[in-house]
Amino acid sequence: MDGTVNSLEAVLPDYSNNSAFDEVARPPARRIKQIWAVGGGKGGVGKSLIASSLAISASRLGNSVVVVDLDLGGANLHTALGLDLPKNTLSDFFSDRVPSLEACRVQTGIQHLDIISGAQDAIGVANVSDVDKTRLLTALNSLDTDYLIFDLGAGTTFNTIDFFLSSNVGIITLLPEPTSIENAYRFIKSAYFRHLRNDPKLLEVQALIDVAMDSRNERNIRTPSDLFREVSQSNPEAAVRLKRSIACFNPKLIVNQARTQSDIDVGYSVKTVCKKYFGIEMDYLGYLDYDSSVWQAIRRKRPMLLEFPNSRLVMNIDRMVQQIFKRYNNVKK
Amino acid sequence: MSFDEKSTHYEILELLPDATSQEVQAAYIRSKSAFTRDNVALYTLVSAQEREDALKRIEQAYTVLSNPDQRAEYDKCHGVWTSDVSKIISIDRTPPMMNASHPEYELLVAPPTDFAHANSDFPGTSESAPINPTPQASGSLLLEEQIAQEVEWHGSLIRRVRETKGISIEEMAANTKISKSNIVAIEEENFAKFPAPVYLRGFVSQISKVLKLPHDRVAAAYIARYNQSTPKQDK
Repeated sequence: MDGTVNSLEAVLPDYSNNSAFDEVARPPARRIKQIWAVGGGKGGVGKSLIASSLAISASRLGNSVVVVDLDLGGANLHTALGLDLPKNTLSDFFSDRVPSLEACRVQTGIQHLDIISGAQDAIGVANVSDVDKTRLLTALNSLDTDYLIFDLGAGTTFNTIDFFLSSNVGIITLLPEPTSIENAYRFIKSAYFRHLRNDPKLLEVQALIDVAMDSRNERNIRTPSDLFREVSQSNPEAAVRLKRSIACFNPKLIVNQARTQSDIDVGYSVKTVCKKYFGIEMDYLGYLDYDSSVWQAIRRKRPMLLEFPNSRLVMNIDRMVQQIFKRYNNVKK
Repeated sequence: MSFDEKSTHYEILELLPDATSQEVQAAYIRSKSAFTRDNVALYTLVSAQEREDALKRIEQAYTVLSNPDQRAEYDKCHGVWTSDVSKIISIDRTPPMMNASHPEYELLVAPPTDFAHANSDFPGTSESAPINPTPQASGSLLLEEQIAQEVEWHGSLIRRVRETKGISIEEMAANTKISKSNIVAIEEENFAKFPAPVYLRGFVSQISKVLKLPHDRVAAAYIARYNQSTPKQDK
């Protein structure tokens, strides 16, 4: 396994020559190296597009990738990849109509890239139970692939947040506009508190975290720094652990549809503001230009990466993927 | 974590204790622009009061860290360890353009865009040779006297201050995120090529801040002169 990571870096510069990878013999049973999740709170900020593009880009580097549509109520990742809704989807998995999750795994026609499509046919499937969610995560984790990429739904339901938190590299997508930023912050906030809430080392102060999650609480805990102060007062040892737990929460950031320099700078500002407000280190992975070729590609039901292989957008996506590999290939759960 | 009163000036600006003066400058502008009033990145998360407080702390931190004496004093009082005290001072004496290719710079400069490439060999910014420190030192004394008495704040003076401090137009553009052509226009008082009037005050005061000039006075004087010299029909 270690060898594969190193050789990956070595082949990065000329990965465009795909044929070089065809002969590479794959070990029979792989263990998943990493899970990436693409979320961001608001709908229409490009989550599916970015998830599918990252997946194509990562698979072109010779990794086997399964991209999973976890937007359970409004699955459309298959469309972003130019496919029709596959026969078996996650709703068949939840209702036990398929023997295993592998049966939902469908080839995309792009080498090394498979998709597991979200549920769309069964009404109410968006509200999966905790048991089903755990079952799905376990099944996903035992898939035979190098990388899993989650395309998350909009909103901040616990399911979405939990899928986000189960990843190694959690990516938040936002547009440089108030509505998107508002939802992105709500998403970060929800994920942040749920991350702390689920940390077994913080059991003693869980009650306080619960109070903080209710923004109109009576103890006047409004911000993470209020929470930190309260915890420091009541339990200084737990405060140290709280700090450590906060340091483990490192979402990454992508600004989509940037039109101007100040749009690009929004990413830096969000990073700074989050550092001050949440005390977290966010990594600004990069930005994607506003590009009208995207909707042209979507109307033609073709993946953007294949339709416009030489565009700047595709270059930026490739660069982000290389950056993720370079910076986070050691990040493990 | 930068929670509340306990954070040091370094934490406020997200700097390491051995940050160079260049890094301090860059961090200051980055933090400050994040907390500018209309920045969309504050929306719903940071209240007006919190924003004001954050800005105040950023200013305080910068005032101390940008001044070598105050910074040394602060480091001593707070037990901040610096590997080599002379390093901080010597950086200020090094012409900054020698550091222009320094990797830290990329923090503030956006990832390259086509636009930036097209602009990269802008004419009239050829002072990239290191300045001999001796004449600079004596020149800067004279200049400092002039700065103390200055009321007009012509663009030419701003340019002289910039050149004496050894800051190239490119570096100024990178630090302030003001385009090079706007900086040149402001220095040359080339009113025809000016940015929109609403931006002018911000630009002038940004530039003055980088040069550590009294930015309020500079911007006020500069704008006043600009308004007098431009006929109102421009608007």
